[in-house]
Amino acid sequence: MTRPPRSLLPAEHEIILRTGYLSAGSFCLYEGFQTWVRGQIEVNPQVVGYCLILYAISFAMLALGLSIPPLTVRFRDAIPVALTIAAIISAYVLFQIHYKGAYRTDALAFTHYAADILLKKGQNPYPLDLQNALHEFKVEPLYVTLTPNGDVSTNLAYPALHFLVFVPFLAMGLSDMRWVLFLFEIATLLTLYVKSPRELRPIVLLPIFVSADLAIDFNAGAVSDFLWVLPMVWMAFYLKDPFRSGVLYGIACAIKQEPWIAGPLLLIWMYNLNQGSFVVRMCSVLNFVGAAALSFAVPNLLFVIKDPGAWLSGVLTPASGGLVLLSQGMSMLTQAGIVRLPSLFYLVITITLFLTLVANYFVYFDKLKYLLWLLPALTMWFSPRALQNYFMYWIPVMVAGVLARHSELRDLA
Amino acid sequence: MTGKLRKIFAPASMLSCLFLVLFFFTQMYGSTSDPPAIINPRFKYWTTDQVWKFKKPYRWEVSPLIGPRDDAFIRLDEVSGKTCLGMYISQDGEIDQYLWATIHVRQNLGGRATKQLYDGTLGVWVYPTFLHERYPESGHPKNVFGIEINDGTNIMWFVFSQQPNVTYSLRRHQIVVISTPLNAWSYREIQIERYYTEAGWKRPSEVALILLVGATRDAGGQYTGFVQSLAVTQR
Repeated sequence: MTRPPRSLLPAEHEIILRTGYLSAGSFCLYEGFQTWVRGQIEVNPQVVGYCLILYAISFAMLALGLSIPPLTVRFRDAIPVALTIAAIISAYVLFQIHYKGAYRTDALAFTHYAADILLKKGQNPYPLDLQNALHEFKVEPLYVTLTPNGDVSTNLAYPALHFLVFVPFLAMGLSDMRWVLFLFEIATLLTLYVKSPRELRPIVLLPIFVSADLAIDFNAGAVSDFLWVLPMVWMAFYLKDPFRSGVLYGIACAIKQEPWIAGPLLLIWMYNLNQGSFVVRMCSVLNFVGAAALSFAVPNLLFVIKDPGAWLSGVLTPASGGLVLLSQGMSMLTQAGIVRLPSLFYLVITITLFLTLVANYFVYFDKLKYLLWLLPALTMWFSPRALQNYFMYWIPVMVAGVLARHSELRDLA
Repeated sequence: MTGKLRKIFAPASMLSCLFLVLFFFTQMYGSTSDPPAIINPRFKYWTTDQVWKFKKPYRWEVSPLIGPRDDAFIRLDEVSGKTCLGMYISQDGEIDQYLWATIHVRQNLGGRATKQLYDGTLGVWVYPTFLHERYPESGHPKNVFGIEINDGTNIMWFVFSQQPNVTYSLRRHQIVVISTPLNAWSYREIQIERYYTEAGWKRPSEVALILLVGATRDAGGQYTGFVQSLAVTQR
């Protein structure tokens, strides 16, 4: 009888590594099948190549997960590479072949179009009717946003950095902005991987890849949230530095409105950052607020000056009740006709709940500190428009929060 | 913060939150803002019809009813500074299978939408370009630009034309001419419930709301009508 080869890692680290390989293998296996289903190999023979790559990667990962220790350890950084390749291939087949190149959401269509008219005509997109974008990018009618009077919403409803970020890519000739979303996703994954302790890296991306929605499908469907997730993830690692985290928070807020809701919680965090007098505590808060305000203002200022009314009504569209009730959250009870309540009810209970959470977060900061990234998602679940991306995209930020805490504990130890 | 306050703050705040939620629930229950009665009332976002392969406004269905040498189409137009739906027909005047050449732009309204339509007022911006004509002997219409409310049993037409207001009835077909100047934009409000009551018809549970332009073979020629937007407002 031969003795098993000696491990190069402690037993608990080795099992984490093997779990990482098996998870990556399982994910690639799943995406191989999804690519086969969506790719229609009879009419798109090139998809066969993609399927073969995905299955090859999958079996390689599974084999590494079951191999002898030297091999397992040597290739451990192949896990994020395998996951990223699977995500890119699967997304490409999804949006180029399955969706035939069309954008699924109006959000990306409007922001792409806004960047285009800014670049080509130098026009401020906020006061314009952007309905041409719906035709140009063949937006899926199911995902068109409606106002309460049934009209199709065709104004720009996001802060300026959401479309400004596309301008350099358009100038370089890129025609599909979903690649930019994937670039931001890859940068997010890379950040989490690099910031993770060595022994946890094989599994650190699992919370993201456990759902193909977050890793692939929403990006491929033109949901643009990874644009704000990246600066928020960076921010989660710099919460001890009010200025740097403020700058990153301002950037995230200048892209989309979801991070805005974390604002009061972050102020409490900053207030508790340093023990000391009220003045010392307020210094951190003001430092954070000043930096955030500055980085938010820089990309938006020009458009605010040009047409303050149009800018304000655009960025406040989601909160002003100007969009029809649509929900995977609490208000689905009304959407389904089960409970007859107006949108205003859900707005009021969202505010009530949020204020309660913020007050408790302040009072019990020592106990609730690390719930920081969950509370915005939880709050949004009660809002009149509670869409999956309003909750789901906080997960990478939560991972960053867990890693930041781990590093804090390590430093203490 | 004192230990005592910390002890009671969480349950007290949660109870207050629950109390407020219940208060708002009791105050607002039933006062739901219904989903819009008409989707895409300004005819934005033209998508390709899967059957006919022509462009149509999102959520609207288009059906031309024409003879071999008639023509009918819709398009996005701009008339006197307003972006609008343009409906066109060309009636060749020949004896075809059908008496009429028409184009219908239709949206089916379900239960709650129908209730809103009948409880409320339908407002519409229209731009008629021709006079409504009738057969002198029978009184039947020869051409039409207007709105049809079709409940599956009865048909009601609201016709926009530059002539005095008049209502006339045919078999299960009520025609309401609403005085509207030609070649100009006009806003008209219609209380459908009122005309249904006058006709002695029962309020239906669902209807098709149809924008139409049409002409019979005895009124050959080109016919055009423009609609800029529709809105149902609560009375």
